[in-house]
Amino acid sequence: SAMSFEWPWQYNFPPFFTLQPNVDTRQKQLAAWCSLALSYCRHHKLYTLDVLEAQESPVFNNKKIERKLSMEAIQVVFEELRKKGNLEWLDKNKSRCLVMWRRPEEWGKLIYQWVSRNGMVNSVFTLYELSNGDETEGEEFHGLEEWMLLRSLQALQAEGRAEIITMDDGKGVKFF
Amino acid sequence: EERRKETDKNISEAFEDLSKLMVKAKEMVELSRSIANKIKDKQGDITEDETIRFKSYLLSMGIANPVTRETHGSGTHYHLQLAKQLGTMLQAPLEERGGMMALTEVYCLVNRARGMELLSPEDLVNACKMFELLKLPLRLRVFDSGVMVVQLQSHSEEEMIASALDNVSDKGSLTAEEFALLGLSVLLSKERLLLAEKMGHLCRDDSVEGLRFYPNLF
Repeated sequence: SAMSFEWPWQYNFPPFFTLQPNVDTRQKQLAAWCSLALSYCRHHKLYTLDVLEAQESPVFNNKKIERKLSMEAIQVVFEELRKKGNLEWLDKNKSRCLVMWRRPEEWGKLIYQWVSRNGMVNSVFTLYELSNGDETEGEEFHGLEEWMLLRSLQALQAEGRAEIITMDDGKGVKFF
Repeated sequence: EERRKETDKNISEAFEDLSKLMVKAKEMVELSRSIANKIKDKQGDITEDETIRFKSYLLSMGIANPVTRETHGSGTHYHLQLAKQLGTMLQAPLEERGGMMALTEVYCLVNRARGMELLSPEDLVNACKMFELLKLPLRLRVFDSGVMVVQLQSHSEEEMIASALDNVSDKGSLTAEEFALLGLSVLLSKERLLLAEKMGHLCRDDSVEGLRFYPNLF
């Protein structure tokens, strides 16, 4: 979207970029970091992050106040996000990760709402149609990466509201 | 030539005596060890007064025997007397400095005033440990960093933290060095800031520009 991202007040507070030794203070600091990282990814529709690149990205590097979060601190924030279910590591070295600013169940709910709103329960879609078709343009899940789409549909399937089917050229889904 | 020979002779005599003295001292050390063991074995058989006397002997020899010494009576008469003296002597300087002094600062102050019969660092620490026992209005305090300070008992922690927070809030943020300009040593300034941080009133910004403390807005 063209709207500019709104930074939280903490972003211009220098101590935000130093991992706080006081346990209570650190908890609040980490909560603020998690929320900033997720809303930033959501705004820019980021689904995967590279840790090294992340350090240079504006989220963790505030050029205006000349502060950046250390590598070690970024790992702590990411680990916190993982514990909350918003992040998954893609490799053992923890250098790349998936970010889920919406968890799969939440995406599934959004997709199902769209399907039922348009009276298309009992219809079959290809995964490509759902994420990139003309009909879903303007929906929040438009452009969703395939791995995430698949997980969201699996979540719906677990609730008995969808079934993932194999088609000639990939996967499809039927909603109930 | 004649005088140099004389000096040489004197020096070698002195060293010979020194090594004889060391042999005697060694005997004393061994003797005191065996006595220390006996005290350990026969707790109760030996009166408090006797252990205290034994401790003064150890002290005059310069032998530390902390395990047995600390388990039988807490210190020595010497340290108790010293503590009383420090109590009267430090009152005014402590008040002048806002109620707290680093032990190193106390050490300089005391020895500079004495001139002779100087204190060893151990004696000072041991004497300060007696403040509480003697119910003097002073306390020895060890910070988490290991820094030891002497503080007036009336010196309250809350006041200390509140003043640190006030000063930081006034300036927006402070390093220990900047805080020290308000009339404290850098060492004590830092301890105060760390204490206020520990209590959750301040937070830190650690960058290439140094360690700064801010009011905790989190």
